[in-house]
Amino acid sequence: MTNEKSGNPIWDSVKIGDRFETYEYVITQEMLDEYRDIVDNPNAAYPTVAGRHSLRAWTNFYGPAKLMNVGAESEYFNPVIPGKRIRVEAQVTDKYIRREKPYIIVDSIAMDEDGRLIEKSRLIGMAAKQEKPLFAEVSGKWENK
Amino acid sequence: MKIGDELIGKTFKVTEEKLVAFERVIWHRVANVHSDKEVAKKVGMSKTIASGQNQLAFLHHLMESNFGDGWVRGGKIAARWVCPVYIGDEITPCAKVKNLSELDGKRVAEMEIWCTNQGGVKTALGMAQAYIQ
Repeated sequence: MTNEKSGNPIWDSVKIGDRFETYEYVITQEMLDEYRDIVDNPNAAYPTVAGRHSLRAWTNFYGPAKLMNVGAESEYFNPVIPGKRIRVEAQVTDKYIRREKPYIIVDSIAMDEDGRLIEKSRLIGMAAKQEKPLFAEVSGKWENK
Repeated sequence: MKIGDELIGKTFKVTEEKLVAFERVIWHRVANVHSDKEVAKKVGMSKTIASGQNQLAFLHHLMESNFGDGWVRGGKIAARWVCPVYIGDEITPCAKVKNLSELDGKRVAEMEIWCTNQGGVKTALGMAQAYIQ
């Protein structure tokens, strides 16, 4: 599986098990309030939905617009407490080619400064085919509907 | 709650202001396909689209409204974005109970989930699980 080549240099070089640099950040009460206002949900417990932990870890290393988010999977344990530092660890857990499209899976775990597990989340990412814009594979199908 | 029950969430209006704000509120991202139409064109789209995570936030509202702490502590979700969501769209998150089981002494609802736009087109598909309080 991992001997396959997609023509996308990042997909071709990334390895299952690659770990990204751990990062930390804080969601303040002000950020939580603003998030709740934006998503029109006054009780939203997981503003981390907009934090996109796996994609952020990926982007910190590879830069923006290198992976299209085509799906997400998450498991929630304890809601975010504003002001507590959140620590995110992420790694590549799979890569494959399906219907000639190159996919990369990035899993992340988020814990706060007190060791409370907040969430586990997975990014199902699709890389661009070589020399094609990132969304080229889907735009034709989507925009002709 | 029984197998076959359908949960219909409230409808969310997608606005440019909220799309851009969503891209900045927790992770201040650079201009991207969700927030800037010039970037959208560069990556192959004709205009900006809502992020999949934005639809995930709508699905969260549905789950939190129906399951409360049973979703917040132990909820699971898996979704795929199957059709673009544009500015002006009205998105409704929905769920259908497919199975009821028991885990750690608590009842669990397993659901098929989706979002539809104002035309009835499904824009997201997936599965979710939550404890029944």
